[in-house]
Amino acid sequence: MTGEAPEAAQDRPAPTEEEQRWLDEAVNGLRRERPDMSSSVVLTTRQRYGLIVVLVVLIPLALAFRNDTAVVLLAGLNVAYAIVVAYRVFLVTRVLRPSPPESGMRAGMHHITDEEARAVPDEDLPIYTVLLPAYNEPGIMSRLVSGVGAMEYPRDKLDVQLLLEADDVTTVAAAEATGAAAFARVVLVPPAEPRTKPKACNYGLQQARGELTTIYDAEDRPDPLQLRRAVVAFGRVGEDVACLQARLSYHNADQNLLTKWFAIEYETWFGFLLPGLSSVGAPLPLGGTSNHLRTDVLRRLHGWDPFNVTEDADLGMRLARSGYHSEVLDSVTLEEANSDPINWARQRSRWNKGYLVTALVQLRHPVRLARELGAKALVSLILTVLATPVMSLLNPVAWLLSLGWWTGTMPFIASIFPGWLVYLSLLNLFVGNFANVYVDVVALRQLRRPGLLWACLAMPLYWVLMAVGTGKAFVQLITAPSYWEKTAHGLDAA
Amino acid sequence: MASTPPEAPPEAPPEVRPETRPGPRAEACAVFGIALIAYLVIARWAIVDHNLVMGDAISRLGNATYALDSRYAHLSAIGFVWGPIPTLTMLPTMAVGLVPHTSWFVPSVSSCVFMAASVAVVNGIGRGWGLTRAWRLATTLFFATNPMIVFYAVNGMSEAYFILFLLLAANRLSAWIVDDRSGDLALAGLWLGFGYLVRYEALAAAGAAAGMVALVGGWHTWMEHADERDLRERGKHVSGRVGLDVAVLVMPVVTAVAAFALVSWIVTGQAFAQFSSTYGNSSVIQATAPAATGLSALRFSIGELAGAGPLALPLVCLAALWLDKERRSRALGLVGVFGGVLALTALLQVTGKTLPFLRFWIAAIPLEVLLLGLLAAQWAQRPRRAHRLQSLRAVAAVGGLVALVAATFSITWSAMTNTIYGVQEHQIATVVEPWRDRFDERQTLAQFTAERRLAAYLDALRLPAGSVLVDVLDGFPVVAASRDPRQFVIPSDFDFAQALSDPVHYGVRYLLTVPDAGRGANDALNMAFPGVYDNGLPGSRLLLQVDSGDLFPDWRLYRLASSR
Repeated sequence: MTGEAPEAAQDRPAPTEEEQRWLDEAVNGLRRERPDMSSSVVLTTRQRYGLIVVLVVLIPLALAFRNDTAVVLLAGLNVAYAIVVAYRVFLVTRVLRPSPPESGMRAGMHHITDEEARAVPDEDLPIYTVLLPAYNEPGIMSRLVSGVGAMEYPRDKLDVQLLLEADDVTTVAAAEATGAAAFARVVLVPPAEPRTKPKACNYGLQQARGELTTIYDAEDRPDPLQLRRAVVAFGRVGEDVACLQARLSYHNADQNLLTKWFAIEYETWFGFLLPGLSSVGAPLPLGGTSNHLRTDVLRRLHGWDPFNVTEDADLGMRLARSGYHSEVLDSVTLEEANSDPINWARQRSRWNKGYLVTALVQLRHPVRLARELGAKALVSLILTVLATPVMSLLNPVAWLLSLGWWTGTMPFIASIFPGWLVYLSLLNLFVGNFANVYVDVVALRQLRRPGLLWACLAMPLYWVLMAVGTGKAFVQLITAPSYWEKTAHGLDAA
Repeated sequence: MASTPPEAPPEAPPEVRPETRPGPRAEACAVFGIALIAYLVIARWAIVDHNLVMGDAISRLGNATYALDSRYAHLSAIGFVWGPIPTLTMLPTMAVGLVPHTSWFVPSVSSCVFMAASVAVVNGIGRGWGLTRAWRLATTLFFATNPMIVFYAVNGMSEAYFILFLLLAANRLSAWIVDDRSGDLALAGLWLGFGYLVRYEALAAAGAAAGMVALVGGWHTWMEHADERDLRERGKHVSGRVGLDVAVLVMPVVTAVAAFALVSWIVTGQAFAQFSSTYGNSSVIQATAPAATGLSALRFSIGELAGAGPLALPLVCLAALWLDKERRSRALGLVGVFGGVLALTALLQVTGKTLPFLRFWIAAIPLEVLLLGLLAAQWAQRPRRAHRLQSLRAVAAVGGLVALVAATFSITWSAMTNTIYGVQEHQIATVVEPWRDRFDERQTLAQFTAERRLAAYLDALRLPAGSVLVDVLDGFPVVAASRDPRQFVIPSDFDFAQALSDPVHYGVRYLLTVPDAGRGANDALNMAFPGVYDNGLPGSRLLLQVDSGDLFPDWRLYRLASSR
């Protein structure tokens, strides 16, 4: 920090009229124009009544016909689990098919070589807006220069906006001190609720000059040629591809067991499952950063949803509903994996809460959703966005039930497991869990990450952790759906 | 930034007219259909008309009967001594009821389907290797009409299933060695995992395949990092890569082993019943004649290999010397999978740990067929020069091939009909040559007649459920031939132990017993009531006695005293 005293609140100039307009559009744009797509209200009145009706019908049934209800629920759970696992395996088989070399695709991702990326002359490159939202992270500012600041793209074609809350004086000062201002424009977002990353990004979007837009976290280390690769890839695809998601990975994967698990999850998700989803034309739940978007499309959709804590996944769904596709770019952005279990649990609960909110919002008008997405994409939405948090929570419940059945100590459990259900559940237990771990092992083999193999074989323990995070998510869904649990960064201090 | 239109696909060369040639699906379906029908016809002739049944197949049919039709029908009654897949495939056929299970045709239906599928897979592999239609059909026919293949297609034994999974795994492993795709490696592992659930020898194939994967992958990675000076770093690259590759191959197999053992342990209390139980391998070997070991056993094993697959070893040598690099790599994959199984069989036979059966060498047949396919593919690619005597050479080549096939089949046939080498098969000689005067073969063709008559007798009594106490060690044909399996109290029933401890009180009316010698020493009734075959129980009377000759167990049916 420099020796200058931070500005006092009353010394700051009041936002101009233009800034007020931008702020209003950032916070209220989506909510005003498309309230049915906004997460500012999680459950509409209709959904609330629907939920009450279901509970009113289900609870007396459950009490009256305890065993039968349990059997039906367990059978349904088994079938749902089997379908989710089968879908995952299906996506992976799509990605493992060989692609013809002239398609520029490799394993379902757009593969641009270094030569192809550098072959585009600087004059032909479009202006690129890079949004860097940050809040209360003064210590991270120093990483900006070596991370995003090291990207290979002509300076005059870059529109880098460092989006900071105007009253976050420590971060503002740190940004100025570390020389981030050399390549980034510090944009002060006027203070307003909700204090979320998507709101800040929307604010930056109002002033964006670029034809293409992307987001990075302040401490990200993207592949220096990523912007160029995105430009080349956008040149190869049709106008209906509005987003290219780059692969996220972790630079501190080897720090501890938790970071290894996290890295495996990311490798499989970005290297296998997302390319698989894009190959079947399904809506992609986008990652938190490195989504390269066409600015005009983004504006038309009113940017991100400031009330949704997983605004990236939500944007992916809204893109698909408007007829756009997202695909995967074979370029890696290195992030920092959460190495502390408590911090990790907070992040995970936010993600699961966001997925649940996204699913609830998108499913508000199911008929319209089906018409906009098509049946296959709708099923995919359910199997990815809705199933992830639900299955994650039900997994340990299933394990506990299995344990109870096996030890034979609780006759109630034996009574709700008729013979056929035992075999079905055993099949799911072995085949399903095996398939989940095996997909990760094959992903590690495909993506050449030998150091993560042993951690991968212990993945079931990771799922226990995930269930804890999901439990918290369900609770927060009711109590504080838009509360953004801030992830602490800089825990990889080494 | 308009997108550039994709380039138009290249025109197909003029001599290929795709609309007129049947696609791969159609040909595979046709091959499968024809093979299936042919095998089913032969099966009906063999099983129903000539009683060419095999004990293991009927035992599996018995397991399926216990699971579906017994007094306490439950899925785990299929048993955990052998791999579950063959028995499981019989359940749909029995449940549908088109084939009466008392005709004992049900196991043959399943084995015909799986062997016909193997034939279609051989055809598909040939297509994948670029064989022309003529060569493809020739190799497919060479496989499908092999006497041993035909016999094991129709008799309901587990070889048909095993061959199918080995073929699929070998094909994938060969493909992986050439083009290093994760999908091929994963599928090879998955097929080997299924193979384990048929026969445990798949572990040998998996082990050999893992060794091959480690060597091939390790070698490639070592050469890939040729410019890496630090040997330790280079070694780390190799070990990392090899570890992942072997993990991908081996995980499905390990999971199959662990899952089957776990379920077996939960249900029966024994994790590896294949090896430890009284119905399992070691027990059977102990109870029957002790096998030879050492040098004489090795001579015998070589004889069996030469009988089952006379071309196998010569073709391996020819392939090693003559094939080009890519095809040699594919051959390596084949040798890994099939050779692993054959090597294990040799090891077990030489050390006396397994039975001297010709069918354990059946893996030599797909090996020699596929090697022949590779050699044919290479030979067909050689540059052709117009030659004055070309048509004569073609005729000579075809003639030579036909002679080779005829010689191979006749060697295999003579091994099968030889009493020393074809211990379980030689009775087929009497079916084909009825003037052959061997009493033991006629007896074998009449096997299970006693048990079928016992079943018919008991069926005619129209007994209530749980009337007849019998152990399925020798009694499986009786239960499998009965129209009312519920009349029996068998070990897979939950209350078998209780019924055995006090039969009269439990409502059992009849005891079906075998002599206390050989395999009968392990019979549950003989172990619970010593001397029950000779004397029955106090207050019981002998109803029926059956003398089955030297080869098969005698029976005694005792009527127990009851309150009625």
